[in-house]
Amino acid sequence: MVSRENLERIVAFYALIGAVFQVLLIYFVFYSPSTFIGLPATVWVIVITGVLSLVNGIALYVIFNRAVEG
Amino acid sequence: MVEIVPLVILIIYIVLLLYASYEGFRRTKAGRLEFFVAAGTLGVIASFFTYVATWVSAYGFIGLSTVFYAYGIDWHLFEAMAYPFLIVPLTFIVAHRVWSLAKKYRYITPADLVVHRIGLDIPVRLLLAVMIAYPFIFYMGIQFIALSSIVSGITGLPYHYGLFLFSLTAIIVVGLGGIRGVAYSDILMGVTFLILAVITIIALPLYLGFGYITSAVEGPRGWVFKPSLPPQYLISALFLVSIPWAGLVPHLMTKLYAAQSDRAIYASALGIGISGFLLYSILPIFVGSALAYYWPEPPKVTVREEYVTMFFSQLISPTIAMLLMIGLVAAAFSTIIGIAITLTSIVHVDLLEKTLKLKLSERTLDLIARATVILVMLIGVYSAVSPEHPIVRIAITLIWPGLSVIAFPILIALFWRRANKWGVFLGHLTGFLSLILFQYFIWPEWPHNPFYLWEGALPTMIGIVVTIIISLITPPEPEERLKEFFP
Repeated sequence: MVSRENLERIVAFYALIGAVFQVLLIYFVFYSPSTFIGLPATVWVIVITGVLSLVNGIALYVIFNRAVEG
Repeated sequence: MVEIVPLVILIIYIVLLLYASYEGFRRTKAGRLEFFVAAGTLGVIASFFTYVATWVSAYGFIGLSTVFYAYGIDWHLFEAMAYPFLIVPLTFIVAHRVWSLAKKYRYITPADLVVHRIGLDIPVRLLLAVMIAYPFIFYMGIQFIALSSIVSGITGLPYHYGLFLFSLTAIIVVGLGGIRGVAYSDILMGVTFLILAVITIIALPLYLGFGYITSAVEGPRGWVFKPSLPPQYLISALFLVSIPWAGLVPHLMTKLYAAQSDRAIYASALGIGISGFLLYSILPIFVGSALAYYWPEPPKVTVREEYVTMFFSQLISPTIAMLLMIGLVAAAFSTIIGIAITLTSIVHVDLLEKTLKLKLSERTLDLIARATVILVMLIGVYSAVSPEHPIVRIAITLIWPGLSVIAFPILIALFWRRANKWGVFLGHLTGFLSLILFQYFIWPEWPHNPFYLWEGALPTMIGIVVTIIISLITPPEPEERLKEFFP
């Protein structure tokens, strides 16, 4: 079982990597003129961002609750 | 012409809201710990709803859709990008740290945590009171703008009548309610808000046709889908705006103090993930695109937020639009009251009790505190009388910078043993002073710096650098104090 302290370190590292990924997403996708299924890249960046918020929220909720049980 | 039926619906809802506040007030036990932070007894469901409701306001649905339509999609990304990797994951860490300390040491105000960590009592309480009041005035102001735009956009009643109606209601609720009252009305709000979100996503394609977003992209207002802000503006904001929202925004800190358990904190973090997806990412795309499709040229309005409410009123009838927007009314109110309670606790505990050391009864102190907060709120109402910008631009320029200069020195103190009283205090002071200087005197034009960074970037970075450097060149805090924070 991972200790709470180590879990926090892993999540903080994940947040950092994710933020770097977002910087790249903004630089290379948000500012590109391309489209996909008729929608511009700007819309897709926000959709991807929104879905990741939901997925991260649910995944971390499950992980931290299990850590509490452990 | 004024639409009577939606107006009556709104008034009925306001009466229900007042009743929920009164019920909370009646059930509130004596004592300021109970009044301000529910004595740390809010369970998972109440914490989830009250944290999310205080967070959400009308900013996401009305504000982001409006700014998308009026200024372009990058203002929407400004908010949406904050959630997935910074706010949501870090809430599980930072908010949990704030909660666990508050649970152990029974904090009431945000300054309680800082004073406990660094020891400077009166100077910290005074400085933080000013620093927190400054952004909160505008924060309440933008809620009043959104609320009044709901009334004027849907019922046709003039904007300033709506402003008067909501100011009056807010005064009564602030006069009555403690945090428990807010938590009760927040559960009511959560349900109506979810209905609004789901119906909007289903209804817009049905009314406008499934290809309306593509048509909007190709239409005369297609420019709103193209970025116009420089990347350094967005990147600087990504880090410096987002991180404070992981649990270090003052009115959310007191909501964390009110939570009973770890699980309540995790549920709140999950709620932010859901809100980030639905209200701050997906819905503004649906609504903003619908506006661009429906009105290639914006209609004449008193405040720009009326675009959204007028649009729904015209599309699906004023009565149904009001039924849908009721959730927004409650959301905006929840934010106003959350802020008002935090400010009341600051005036009551930090200023009257701990700084001025007034020997008055708790009831008298409370009355003075509430009267002060009502005055502060009225300044917020005044800022809503004739706003120059949409609420999102007001927040990004005036509110978020104020919150970031407060949060970062606290964040450093929470996770870095070497941070000390001089570092944190001077970090706060220099961050706040540079914010005022840059915004009002040195670079009064947007974006208040010569590098096209986010408005709050330079003051926040100054605060961070000063906190670190001063902490390193002055002696560390005594080991006994640090043991309480870093066991």
